Amino acid sequence: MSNTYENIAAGLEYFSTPDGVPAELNAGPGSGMGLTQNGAGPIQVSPRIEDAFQAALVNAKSKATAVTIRVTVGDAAGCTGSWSTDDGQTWTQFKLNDGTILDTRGYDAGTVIDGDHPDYYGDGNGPRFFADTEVYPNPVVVVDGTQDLHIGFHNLFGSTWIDDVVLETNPDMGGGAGLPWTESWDSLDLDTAKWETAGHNPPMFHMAPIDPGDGDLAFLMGNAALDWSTKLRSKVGWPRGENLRCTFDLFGLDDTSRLGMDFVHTYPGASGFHGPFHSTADIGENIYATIDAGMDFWWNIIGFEEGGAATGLQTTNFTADDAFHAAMHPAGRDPEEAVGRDTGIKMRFWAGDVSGFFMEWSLDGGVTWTPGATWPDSNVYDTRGQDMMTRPDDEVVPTGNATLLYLGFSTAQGGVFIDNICVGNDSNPCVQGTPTPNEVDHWTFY
Amino acid sequence: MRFIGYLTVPAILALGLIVAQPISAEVLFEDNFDATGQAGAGSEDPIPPDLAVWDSFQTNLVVHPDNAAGDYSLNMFNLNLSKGAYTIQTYPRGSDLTCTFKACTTSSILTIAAAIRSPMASMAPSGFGDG
Repeated sequence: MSNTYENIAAGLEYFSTPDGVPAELNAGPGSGMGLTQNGAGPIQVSPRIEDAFQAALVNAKSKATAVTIRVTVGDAAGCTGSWSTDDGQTWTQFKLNDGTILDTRGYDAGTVIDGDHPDYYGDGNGPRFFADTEVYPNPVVVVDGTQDLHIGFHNLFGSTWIDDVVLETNPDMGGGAGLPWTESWDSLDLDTAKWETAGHNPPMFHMAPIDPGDGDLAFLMGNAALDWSTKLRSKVGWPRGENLRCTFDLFGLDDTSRLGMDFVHTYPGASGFHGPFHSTADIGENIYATIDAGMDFWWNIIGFEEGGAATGLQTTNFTADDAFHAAMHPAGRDPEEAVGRDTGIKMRFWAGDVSGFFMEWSLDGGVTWTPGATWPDSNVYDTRGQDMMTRPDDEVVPTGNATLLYLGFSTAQGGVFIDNICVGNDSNPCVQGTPTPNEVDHWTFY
Repeated sequence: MRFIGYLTVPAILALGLIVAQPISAEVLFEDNFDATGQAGAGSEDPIPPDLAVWDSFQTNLVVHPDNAAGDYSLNMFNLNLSKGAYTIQTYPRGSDLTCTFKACTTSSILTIAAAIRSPMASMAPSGFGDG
């Protein structure tokens, strides 16, 4: 009978280094669960997944606290994986403690990837391999290219419980709350697994996807009374960390009758977006009161908002500079200019890993970005890393610091379209290669 | 502007095509080990997994003591490098083939991580089902 650890083409495997076996096996350095492949051979050769994953395994004492694990194989060779402790609502890609992503998809089968990594085993002892190199030769990862795969589970010791096994192709990595998480409104029917709305009652109240006139659906929000009844909130959230960010497109509805609507105001009048990041998914909460990293508005003035109601409603925060308003409100600057997708604005909000946020905007589809800045001095707004900030009225208030962020949007009355939403982080970016803006190389709010 | 040069026009167009043409997921296999219809189900006694699907050696479906009654899971216990179960059928790579599962333990902190070896294997051990 084969030793089962010799058969793993893509999956997880426990290892312990000969000199690193700790008192608490997977909780200590030098041992734990690693992402393995290619039959791995000796059980001690898998790159160790970060401490947070090992801790989650320790805590997995029932189905309620189980770790959900997802392993994806490359179409030709290699593998990667991710894990979740909230039943697949949020996922973290497998990585080493230093953030190195474990992903060998895209390598040719048989490619040798050596373990020359500063903390390959997670024990802080630097790159070193087993003394008996004939038994445990360096290099330590050989990319697997086995084409036909079984699903298999095995035990070493202890008592393991496996449940809810699913094998699929083309998995919806953007569904649920996996990152990157996307929404482009491909159907007139709202995806109720992802979103919850309130107040939709056209033609005077609208909170649903619609064809703005170019055949490309977008989400239109607007209403006929300033009662804050119309809201859109995501049902899922994402933890701050790894530069969590949200990108989306926004444009206006200049003539509400064009789509059969009857809102009080035409864009940009009374038109904001009150998002993207909120501290709650509770549809009952006022949309302006829960913004943790985003912007609200007061009449036609868009302002930076965080900490929700804690920092005050609308009139007390820093407002955006003229450049942003000129971009956001083209119709307001030139009544003859059509408002629509072509004159829309793309925005990207970066949540601080612990608190605060930074935003930037683009008028060329995200090729170039302008940092969000405050009126009247055009100081870049960036509160990431700050736990407190001083408002324009000299009140010192907490920055946004909700640990789990949800999406939420609403205008007030004027018609506003939202489209092409994407939430990502460093491990799961919306666009590969997008760099993180430098923090605090400018004026801040202390 | 800081980000000029990071994205080429072809890359942007390619990304747009990907976004514009979502591909539906297809489930190839799933098992929640609910033991429906299997002999012994509901007795709370260990029963084997579906042997038409799984090649099993000393694995059983058992209700985890902290789970709901009747919610079976595939259980493996004690030190034995060969205990486990494989699907008899194989599945080809391609289209982001992905296996998702839940894992937990009743063991102490000392043993949980040692217990899982998963999920995609390159071969079924010979004679596995024979014990």
